[in-house]
Amino acid sequence: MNKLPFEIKLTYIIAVVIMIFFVGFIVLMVYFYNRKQFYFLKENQLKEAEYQNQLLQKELERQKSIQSERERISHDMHDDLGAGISALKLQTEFLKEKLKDDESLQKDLDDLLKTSADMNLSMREMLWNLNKSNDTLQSLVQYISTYAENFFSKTKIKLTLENNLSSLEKPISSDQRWNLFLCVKEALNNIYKHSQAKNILITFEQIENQFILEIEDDGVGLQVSPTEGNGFKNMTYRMEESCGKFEILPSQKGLHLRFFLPL
Amino acid sequence: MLFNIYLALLGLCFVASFRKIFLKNFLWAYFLYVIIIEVLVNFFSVKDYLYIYSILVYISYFFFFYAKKTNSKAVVAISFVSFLFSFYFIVSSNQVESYNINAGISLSIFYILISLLWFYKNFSKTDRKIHHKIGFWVSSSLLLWGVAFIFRIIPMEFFNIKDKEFLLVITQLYQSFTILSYGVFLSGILYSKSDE
Repeated sequence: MNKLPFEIKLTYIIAVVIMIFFVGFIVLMVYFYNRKQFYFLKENQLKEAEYQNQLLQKELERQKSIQSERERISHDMHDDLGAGISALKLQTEFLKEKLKDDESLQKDLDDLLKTSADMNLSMREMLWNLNKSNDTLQSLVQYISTYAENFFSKTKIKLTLENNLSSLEKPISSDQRWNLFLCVKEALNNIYKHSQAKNILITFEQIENQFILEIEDDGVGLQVSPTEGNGFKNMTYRMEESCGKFEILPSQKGLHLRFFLPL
Repeated sequence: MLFNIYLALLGLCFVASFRKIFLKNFLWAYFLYVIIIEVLVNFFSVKDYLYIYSILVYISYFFFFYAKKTNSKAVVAISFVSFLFSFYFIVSSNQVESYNINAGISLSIFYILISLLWFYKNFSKTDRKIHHKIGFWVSSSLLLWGVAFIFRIIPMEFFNIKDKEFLLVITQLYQSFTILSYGVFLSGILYSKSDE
């Protein structure tokens, strides 16, 4: 029987083993390289997440310090300025009582009383704005509703409020609600002064992630171009500041205003 | 003994290949085909030229398997050239009853190139761990089998004439590597988490 020399067989077997070793080496190299790359990437992602977390932490601390400063100002205003205005009002009333015979001074004292009442109201509005617990849609809607009711209570204009909001617990920043409130205040004031309206409708709505406030009246409508009045310019500016939008909608009678705010 | 282990492993691979994530690869069809061929040749004494024609089936199947995974023109080129060469060697061969060496070499080279190409395309990808991809296990298995088969097929006739005893040793060694490569295949089917 034919037999190959041992050296040839050995060489052949060694060649097979070496080649298989190479195959194993290639497979393991691919595996370990990929694993290293994978962990390197994960490590980088982790570092990035940690960095983002630190930034967030700093931002939270900043917000916290802003909040505590707002609270401090709010307390100071309430305790100091508020008490001062109340004292001023009391003293004016006392003076008015004392000088009730002097007709010429009565009007000035009434004006002083009115000014102190306005100051008191402005201060309360500012306190409402500074209070963090009011940073919800519910608080904004409630505040605007109360303001509008009080505003028109002594007038002949009939106010109707329509609340179509599904969720009132949505958060809203103090800047946004302050800007929107000032816009509404301006709009209501203009309606009262110029529109000769008999009815006014305020609607609160939410479409997807947008809060919509609409004000409609049945007055004489717009007498000047919207670009002319400072009031409209201010409203547009304030809403844009809050990443929102202000629109004057076409209406057959009266004026129809719409304010959008992202939630 | 080795052949029985090999058949049992093929059966396990066939059953495991019904895992939901691999169904669209038709791995089960590949294993079913291999099992049928082995059973026909070894238990029903069907002529073993079935092995030669199977080369074309294997090239076609792994072209289908890798084409969508690598999305590379190189896969098409390698598969096309290997198929053409194998087809030419099979058709031009007169020895229908014995294995065509050149076609076997084409198949081995096809397996080696296509698996290396998959490694090249995936070794730096970090979308998921490489051993969670079925392609890693299949490529490792094919690379191992391709290299082992080249060492078995090229000197086969030479050893048949010069040293039959040594040819038997080589055949057993080759069967061991085949079992190992199907073991790798089975691990891939069982532990992979992605059909990539």
